[in-house]
Amino acid sequence: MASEYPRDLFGYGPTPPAANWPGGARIALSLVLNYEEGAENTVLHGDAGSEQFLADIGPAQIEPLVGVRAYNTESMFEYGSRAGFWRIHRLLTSRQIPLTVYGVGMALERNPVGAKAMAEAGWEVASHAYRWINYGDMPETEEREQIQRAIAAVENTVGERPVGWYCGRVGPNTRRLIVEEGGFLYDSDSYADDLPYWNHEHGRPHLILPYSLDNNDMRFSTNGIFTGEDFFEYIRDAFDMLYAEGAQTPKMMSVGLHCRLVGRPGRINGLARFLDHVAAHDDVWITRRRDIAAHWIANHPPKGGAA
Amino acid sequence: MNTSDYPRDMMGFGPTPPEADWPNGARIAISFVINHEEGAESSILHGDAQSERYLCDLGPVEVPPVVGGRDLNAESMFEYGARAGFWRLRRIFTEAQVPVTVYGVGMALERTPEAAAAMVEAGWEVAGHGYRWIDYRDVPEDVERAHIAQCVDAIATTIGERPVGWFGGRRSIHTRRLIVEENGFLYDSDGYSDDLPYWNTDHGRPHLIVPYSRNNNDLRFAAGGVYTAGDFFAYLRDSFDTLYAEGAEYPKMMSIGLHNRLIGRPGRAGALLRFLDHVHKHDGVWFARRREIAEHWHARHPYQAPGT
Repeated sequence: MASEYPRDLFGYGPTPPAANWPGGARIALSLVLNYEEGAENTVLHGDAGSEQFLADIGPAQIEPLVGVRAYNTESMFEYGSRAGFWRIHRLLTSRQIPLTVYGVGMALERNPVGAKAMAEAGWEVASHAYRWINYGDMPETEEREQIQRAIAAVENTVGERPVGWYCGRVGPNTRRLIVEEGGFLYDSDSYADDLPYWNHEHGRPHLILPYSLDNNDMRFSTNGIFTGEDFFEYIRDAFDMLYAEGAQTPKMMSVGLHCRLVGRPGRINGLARFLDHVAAHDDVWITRRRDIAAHWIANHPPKGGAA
Repeated sequence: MNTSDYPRDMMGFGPTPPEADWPNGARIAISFVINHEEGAESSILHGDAQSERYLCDLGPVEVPPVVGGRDLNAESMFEYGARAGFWRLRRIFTEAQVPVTVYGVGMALERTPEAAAAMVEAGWEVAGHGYRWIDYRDVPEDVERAHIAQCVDAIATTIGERPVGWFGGRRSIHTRRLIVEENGFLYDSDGYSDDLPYWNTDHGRPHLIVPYSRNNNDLRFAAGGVYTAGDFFAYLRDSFDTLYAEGAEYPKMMSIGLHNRLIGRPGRAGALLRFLDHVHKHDGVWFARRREIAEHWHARHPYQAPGT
């Protein structure tokens, strides 16, 4: 095929590199808490209509309300920052589990107490854009500006700038703008592999830490799962597969969480059970994404020159 | 009511299916199918108007396809299939020594020559699955005819021999006629209407259908309905158990559809290991590539005109 095809459909193929995780770990496990509440679509934020993505409104129901507030949806998001966040915070800090937060700038600004608690817990706060919206159609200049605001919001609320990035609903310019900004060690806007990899599309080598939308509590909302037990089973199976493979080729595993979803009392036990399961295994590196990125940069630098 | 001009067959084998007579008296023939599609999906990079949003982990609710631009999230999910999922499935099936039929999309095979070589090395059958992984319903007949020829060529080039099987998937009303017309196929699998192969005479000469399944199929992980590997395993096991029990009298066949980017995810692939363990506890199972099932049917159950 033509060499200008910009996608890589081979990657590491049948022979992934030896990750060399610290302590000879068989798997690097990254838990991610998406902190988004207060940055979603609402007329209060200047948007055309209300949010309908990843709440408990149900998949069959409603179109977004246009021009007015959707009080039910708003209150579901409020649950996330008011109750769900602290439930997850208690669970993870009581077990001293390292975490990466994907922090949306506007959401952090609206909950400085929560942001401070993240910093005190030693959690990494990566940037998850300034707004929790679809960036697919945003003009480049506006998106560039929003990236700056997103960085400033993390800096102001958490105390240091983010070195990781996850937009989510990316636009065509997002990755280029992140590389251009120059201060990020990695981005996670990819689902293409089980290991970090280097991307060379935008000049200097740029590290990608792939994320997961299947090891992800969003399935409680986008359908598929109802019980915490099902969520536990799915991420347990993913862990078991990667752990078994890790005897020969260690991989990384991402688990995506949301305050308003797994933070509900009917779901949190699925996460707790998973942590029990993991705790019963040796050679697991539970870590923050920035630590995985630092490890990859040190141990697996890009071919043909430093990042 | 049965009128001679009604083009569908609502009776088929009815209550008395034929004795399949599988090799070694097997009670069931099992066909695993891996759909190899990644790199041939809808994308402006491939000349399409919009991005793909079918059968990946974007979720059923949100995102419409991106018109006139790339959807980098969807693209990376498909890339996962080719980069990681394929190799995981290859390891599982080669370690279990279970044969596989690949439904190979021509453009995808051209973009993944290492995977194509690995299929040959594993002894897998590669059947044709279109030149593109798109909906052919509105594709003009002459374009579809050309795509079928391109698919046959792509497989001949990357695999070393032409396909003898066909699965269109999102086929058009012309597909089957064009496949019969092409004349090099032993069978097609664009049918969900039976538990055994059957002959179709819509297009002149008798043409063998080896029916496929969209319920014993990991597409349910994306299209809704299944989340856990445990549920998928339970469904496959139940299908197997039913057909295996019936197979004491009337042996049948079972198709299992898989996708690199779906079952190839670490949270899902374990379902296959569990199902293979379950099947391995049973005697009288014929693990077959579809072309072997087709060849068997051609030899043991040749077409017989009505009334003969």
